[in-house]
Amino acid sequence: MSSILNQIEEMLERLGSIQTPEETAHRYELRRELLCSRYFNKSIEQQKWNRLMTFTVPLFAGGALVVVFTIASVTINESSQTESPIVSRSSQMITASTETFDSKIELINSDQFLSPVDEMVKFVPVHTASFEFAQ
Amino acid sequence: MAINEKEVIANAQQDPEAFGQLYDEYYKPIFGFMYSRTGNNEVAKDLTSETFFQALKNLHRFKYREGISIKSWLFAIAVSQIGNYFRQRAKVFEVTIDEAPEIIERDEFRPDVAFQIGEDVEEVRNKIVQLRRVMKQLNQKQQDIITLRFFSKMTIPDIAATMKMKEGTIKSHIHRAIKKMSVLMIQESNAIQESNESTKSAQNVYVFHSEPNRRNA
Repeated sequence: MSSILNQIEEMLERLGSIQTPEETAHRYELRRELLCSRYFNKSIEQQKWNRLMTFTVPLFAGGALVVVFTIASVTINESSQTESPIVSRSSQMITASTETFDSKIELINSDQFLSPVDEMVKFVPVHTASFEFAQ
Repeated sequence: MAINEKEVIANAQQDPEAFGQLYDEYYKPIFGFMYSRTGNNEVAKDLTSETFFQALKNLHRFKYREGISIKSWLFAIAVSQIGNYFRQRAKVFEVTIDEAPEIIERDEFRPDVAFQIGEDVEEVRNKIVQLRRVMKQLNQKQQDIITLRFFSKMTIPDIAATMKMKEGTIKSHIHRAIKKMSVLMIQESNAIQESNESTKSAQNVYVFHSEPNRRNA
């Protein structure tokens, strides 16, 4: 029995060693079809898209950052610009009240001074200092 | 493999040239497997094409791991294609060897085979036809394993990776398949002997009956 098994194995080995027929035409035809297939077109499109995204994403992020900084700087400027007229207006008020009593006192809307910026202006110790010197 | 396989596989998903390198490396083994398994040139061409298209479509799923090479992965696709082919063929039509011997004759025997082996053409023809006939009586899994082992010259670990089985299971499948083939071959040769003997005895009976007639004549 073992000799028959060996014989069959040997026969299979010999048959397996026989070269399969060459199909050159089919080989090149299939190669061309595979390499020109839509799977590669898809991946090329995706590759282009990816390349585009790699450039545009940092650009967008940078742009957004610039916009944020600009807005922040504009708001800071605005706040600093609103501080100075209030100070001058309040100082005008004080001088007006001390110098001329005849002049008509302007009524100032107190709502304008309710913002935290106004509170800061109110605590400027300009008048108290001048009073101390006067005493 | 001469080319850097990992690098080529990584590039092959996008780069047609890299995929071309893989194709050039594995076209012949895959076609050889298909041809050995089906015994038909045209069917082998179709199945090879389908295998490579499936490979291209699913290459992004391939993960390079220890023990699983691209060769095993490609052959696994080829084996599944073969399975699909035989399942579909069983549904569509069935032609037995007795009904259409010319189909077997046309593709499974090539005269250049006898020249390559260096034996008598008739003897080689008989051996191949008998071996093919016996192989077809094995189950699909055994046929795949035997073809991968002896016709595609794959190692046991490679076959195990291809068939998603343990190496020991592959070895036992091979042993059982060869044993079954030997039993079938013995049965076949006994049947041939018996039929030869019966034809001989029938001829003797004919001679025995015909001789008195001659004497009378």
